Amino acid sequence: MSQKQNKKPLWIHPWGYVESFSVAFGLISVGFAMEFSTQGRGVPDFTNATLNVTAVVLVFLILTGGLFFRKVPLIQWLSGVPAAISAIAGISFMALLMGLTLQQQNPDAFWVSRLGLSRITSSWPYLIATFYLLVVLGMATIKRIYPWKPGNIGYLLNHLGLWIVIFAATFGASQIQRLEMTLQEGRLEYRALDRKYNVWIDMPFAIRLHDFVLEQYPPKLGIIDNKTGRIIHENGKYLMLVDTAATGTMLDWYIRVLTYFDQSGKAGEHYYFNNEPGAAPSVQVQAKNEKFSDTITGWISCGSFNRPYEALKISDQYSLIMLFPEPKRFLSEIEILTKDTETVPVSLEVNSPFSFQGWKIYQVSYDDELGRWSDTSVIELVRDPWLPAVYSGIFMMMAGAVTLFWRGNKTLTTS
Amino acid sequence: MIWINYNVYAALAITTWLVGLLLMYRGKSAGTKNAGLVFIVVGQLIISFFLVQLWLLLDRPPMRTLGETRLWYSFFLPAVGLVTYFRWRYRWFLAYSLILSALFLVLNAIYPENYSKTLMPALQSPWFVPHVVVYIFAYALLAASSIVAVRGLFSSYRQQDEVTRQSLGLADNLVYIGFAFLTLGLLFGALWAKEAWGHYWTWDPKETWAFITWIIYLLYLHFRFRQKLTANQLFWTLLIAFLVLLICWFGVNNLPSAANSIHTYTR
Repeated sequence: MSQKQNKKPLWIHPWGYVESFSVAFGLISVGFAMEFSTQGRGVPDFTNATLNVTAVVLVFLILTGGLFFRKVPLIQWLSGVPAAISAIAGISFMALLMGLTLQQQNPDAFWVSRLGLSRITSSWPYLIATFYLLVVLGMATIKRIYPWKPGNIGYLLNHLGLWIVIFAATFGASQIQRLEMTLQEGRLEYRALDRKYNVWIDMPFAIRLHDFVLEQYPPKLGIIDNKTGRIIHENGKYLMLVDTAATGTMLDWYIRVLTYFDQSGKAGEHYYFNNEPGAAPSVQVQAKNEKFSDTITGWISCGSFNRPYEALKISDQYSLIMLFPEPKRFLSEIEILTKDTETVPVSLEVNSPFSFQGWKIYQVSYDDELGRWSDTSVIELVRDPWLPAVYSGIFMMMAGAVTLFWRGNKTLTTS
Repeated sequence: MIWINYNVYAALAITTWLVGLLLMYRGKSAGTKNAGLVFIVVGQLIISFFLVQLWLLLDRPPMRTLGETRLWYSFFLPAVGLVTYFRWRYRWFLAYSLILSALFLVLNAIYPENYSKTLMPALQSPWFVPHVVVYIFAYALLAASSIVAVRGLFSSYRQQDEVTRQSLGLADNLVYIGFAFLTLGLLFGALWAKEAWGHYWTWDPKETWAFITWIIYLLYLHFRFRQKLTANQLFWTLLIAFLVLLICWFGVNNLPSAANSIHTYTR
């Protein structure tokens, strides 16, 4: 059987691996040719109408082809394993290119920009490889849905789930809106910036920032080389978090924290507790050199936007310094005001966005320089109408993964 | 700078494993062999105890840095080896999984970790633990499949057809379960990304390589479905797939394409 297939002349049905890979290779080559001939401008922004029509036509073609013309050799080939493998290989090739080249806005190299290698997701070969995968995956799925067998459930969840995810992500991509809004404490804001097109959008609701809160970890102490100014940390080994039992060893020094203020000011040679804006953390430390039995005591502070930092020189070569505290959590106490004068208080935090009128609202950043005294908070507003479709695909794939697990188990017991 | 005596735990675990394997391979009676198994389980418990202690000390899930994920790997790999042994009695497989696990323990001793307590807000999410645990478990299973592949290539070279056939069967089972977990890890990551970064998929270099890894194992599953490739070709596919997995896990941070990755937590 396989002998015969090998001797079959090329391009006579049934098509096998050689034909399938030739098709995939041909399609991607056409994609690169299109990219090259359009000066590497990539896939243009299609209008929603164009996208919707294309989506409907694609689904229609897959359904009619898969349901009514399944005896046609071309459709048989499209729903078979060789075509599937060539389609997976095609998309793998595009993903590999993406994984090996830096994806950025303005590449230097002529060929990189001309072939769209620095923004592959908006290039013609990528789009064509995706379409090929959608057609092949769609045809294969239909073959298993109709006629239906209960044993196909796992296959269906995995394949249809993946198809829905790719389909919805591809056609929904251009309808995603990601807007940035900069809030100032006490002020009402209703305009947001669309960075992709650099336009300001008037939102159907306004947001007021009541309070921006930043909680920090205690600062870390480190050791620097006086000449180079570089921190010597040996992969973090010599970074010491100032907590309750703060002692540690850095190079030849044994370090002990004597006093610690999370907010402080300086008077004379000493620091004292102070909670004015900009009051920086400080520690009094004792550094004991274990080789020369030499002990030095002094104050260290990382400073802030309005306070100087202070290092402690422990030898000609080294000094102890304090690093800026790292953020533990930050959140914005905001209030959303709608046109019907409804107000919704929200506490917006990283990793827990708030959903409102089809938008998801995210805490993004703040004024780095002011840190915990920042009265600015940057939030992001995201709208993705196709998200429910993508999620339904994702949940199908999750269920499919579970069936895969069981199937694996089944083969285990029989072998 | 939390002082925790990692080297002692690692040395203890590796020693118990060595003793255990020695008893299992050299032991004459069933009793000695079982004692060997007990030693191996004890080694596994030592690693578990260390992980629990580390978690408590750090007051956060110890899964942020590469070194921390290597620890989980050293935990899951013997677990997979032990389960496989209890179920199908593959002694050689248990031995290899222990050796690989020990290798990762030694790697962590050579490159000591900064067990820093801080955890950036982006990682403080209920998704953090399931995402990492599911992924590392998948990595352990797929590493196991590549061990089996090496064994299969060897037996096929020596023309031991029965061993080759068995190896292929075992590799298949490991890949099926591993791929299921790999898929879950990927999808958990997508759901988390939507909550943390505003979009479920941004083609960040780590995501791109995770996708490449996933799709290469997907290729393997489809190769198997058609049954047209020889055992050797399949074993090689598994080895290449595991190489890609390693690039995704460790290599990405060093690739030029990853200059702007948001997946770096090792500062």
